[in-house]
Amino acid sequence: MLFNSIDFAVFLPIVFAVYWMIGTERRQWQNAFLLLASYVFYGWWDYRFLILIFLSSLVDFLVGQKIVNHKGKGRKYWLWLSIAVNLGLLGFFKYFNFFIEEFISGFRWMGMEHSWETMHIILPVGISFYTFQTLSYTIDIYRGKLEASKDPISFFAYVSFFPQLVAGPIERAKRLLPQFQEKRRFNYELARDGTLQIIWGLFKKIVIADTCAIHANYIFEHHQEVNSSTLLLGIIYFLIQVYCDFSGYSDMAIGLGKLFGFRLMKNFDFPLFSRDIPEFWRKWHISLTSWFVDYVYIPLGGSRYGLWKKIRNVLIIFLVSGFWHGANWTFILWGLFCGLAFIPYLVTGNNRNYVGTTIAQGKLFPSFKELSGMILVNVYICLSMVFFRSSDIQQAYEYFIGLFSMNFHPFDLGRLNYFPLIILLFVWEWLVRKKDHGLQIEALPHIMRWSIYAGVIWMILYYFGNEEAYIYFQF
Amino acid sequence: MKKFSYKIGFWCLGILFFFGMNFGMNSYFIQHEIVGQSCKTLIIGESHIRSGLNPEWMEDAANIAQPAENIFLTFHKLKRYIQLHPKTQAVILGIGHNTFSGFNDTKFRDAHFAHEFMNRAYAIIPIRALESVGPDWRIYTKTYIKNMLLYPRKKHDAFIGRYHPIIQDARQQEVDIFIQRHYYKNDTTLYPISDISIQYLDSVIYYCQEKNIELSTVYIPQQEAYVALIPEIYQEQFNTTKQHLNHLNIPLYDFHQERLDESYFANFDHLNHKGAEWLTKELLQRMHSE
Repeated sequence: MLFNSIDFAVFLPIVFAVYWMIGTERRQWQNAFLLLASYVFYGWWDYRFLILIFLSSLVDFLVGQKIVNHKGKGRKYWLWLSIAVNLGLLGFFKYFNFFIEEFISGFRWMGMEHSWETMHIILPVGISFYTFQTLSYTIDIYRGKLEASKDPISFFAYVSFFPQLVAGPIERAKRLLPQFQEKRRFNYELARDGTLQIIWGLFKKIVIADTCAIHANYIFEHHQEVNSSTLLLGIIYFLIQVYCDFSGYSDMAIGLGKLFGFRLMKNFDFPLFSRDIPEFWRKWHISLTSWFVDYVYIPLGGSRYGLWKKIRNVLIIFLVSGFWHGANWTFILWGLFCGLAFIPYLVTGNNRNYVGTTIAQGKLFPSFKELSGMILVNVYICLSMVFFRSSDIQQAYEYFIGLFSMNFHPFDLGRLNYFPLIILLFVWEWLVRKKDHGLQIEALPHIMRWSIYAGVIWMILYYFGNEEAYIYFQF
Repeated sequence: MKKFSYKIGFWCLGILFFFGMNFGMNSYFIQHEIVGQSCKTLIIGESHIRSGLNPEWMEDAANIAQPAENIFLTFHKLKRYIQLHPKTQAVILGIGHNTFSGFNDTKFRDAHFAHEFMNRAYAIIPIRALESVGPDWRIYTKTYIKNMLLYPRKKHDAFIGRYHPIIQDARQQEVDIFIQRHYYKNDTTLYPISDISIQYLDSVIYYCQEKNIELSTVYIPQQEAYVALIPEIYQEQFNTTKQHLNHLNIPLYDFHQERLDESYFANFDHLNHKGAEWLTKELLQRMHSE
């Protein structure tokens, strides 16, 4: 069930009404109902997916208990069981065919013919997200940072919580699980803010991302027939599509969480206004980046063993992150491309220059240095999108060749038709860059605020209709 | 909770009120909008007749045919047009073997066509009538909301087409592609004969009789290679229709086996501007000679 579908528009009010009618005094019933609703939401795609999520939740719930009850090496074995089951499921469903195909082409390259069959495997929606979420639970218990849950309903509801089940934010058990274990009272301000955040997310998805997709899809599909200027527009449109698609989804997820009394973590913090590459990665898909830092980078040694190991660890993070996005060499190259841009900052010790500050702090406009930094970041990220969007390395190569052939004439003016809308979005995001989302505008007079809400709702209804799937569902 | 429910309710009511106002205005515009031109002879059908008959060479005629149109939509367009222009005396309906293809039945639910078809249909086809073609109701709802509820718009004439000469020369394409498109579900399976199209052809006939409108049917010329590949069941169906029209005294001007030079065609089954000029004049001559 997509958030931008009619099915969900019917599902949500029913779940919301029943959930709060159950009452805050019956927290367990609320959790059980949320679990049921989440399974309905997930099973709507394919009921067979429910077996996987149930299995993953069951294993981690039991392993959590075992780790607590064991001492010494036994704890480690149980942790490895959890890692093996979760990564095994992920590996099989997401990467099996990729590895088989690569082995076959590797053997062929060595002159040996093998006829291993690939399988028709459907990738269960959101498997990359919830496996990481449950893994964080067992690892945190192992590290002694979290107590094992004794309440299976809460735990199962935490794993399958429908607002963030299929595309994150990837929540840590330490943050989200306790929220399932305490009473949740209806908070008007929180629910109101959540509703506005959902509307803002829908706006980004339906009005911006889905319209940018029209041009981005066309240009990538016809990359050999168009000139450099159109190819340039293609990567700009695609970057904006990915940003609005995924941050829009995250806004909706966080907003939905607020409607049910939960506070989910921020996943995007206006990353396109970053002044350097490290700042970009601190603001883009925050929940995944921080997951990799906590559960891969630090166990690898982090920044403790000298510069070379630090560089190695950072490159590993980016490569793994690329591979997490999909079983394709293009994603691995994308990860490498992004990682390489990070290294110079790491080597020169400039990778934490902008921690805890916002661009143009206290001012309306950025300084020249900030602006030039921001432009450089966006140019680099735009280029990285060629790898991200291409179906294979050959297409990425052809795209780059076309892009750098410097054949900019004639400029396809017709493809600029969505630019006013995009500029409007970014001007607006610039103005609200210190807020959580674009509709946190309480400071404006009533009439102006309500006109903006009405305008945004109108545009959603006007552009509504395509029900494009979210890009990140495929990951 | 109460305050939140009230506010949500207030916004929902506001949206409903806004929708209601727009619905009222748009319904009024649909009722009072004069679309198309008053004419003596109306040309109606799908892309073959749209590019095949040029009303400029006819006396007081209008061609409102649209590409991919099925006869179900044609019937409803005709009804609406005659309601607006009751002085219409004659209707020329384009038909062919493909008129009876089951492919036509999918147009209100096939993702490729449904948006366009709903856009043409929302102002002229009542929901109950639409049920018979098994439409995609989601697409219908979205089209309806967009066209009727979001803002007042004075034009609701997406169902009106016009003569449109095809200049694109697609002869390089294989003839099989054209045949495949009209008659085959996939590489090997044919679409069944469309009962809905057969029924609605009768509806057009009876409607014209009821309104005292002289109905003629025309099958435009097509290239030999195309005609030779038309599946047998469609040939049989067309022969049955021919007899049926003959029985009802409805003239059928059948040019489909007319052997014209390739220069008259835009592709295997569509005439170009030159072909349209020839057909229009030839048709008028035949009509006058009868």
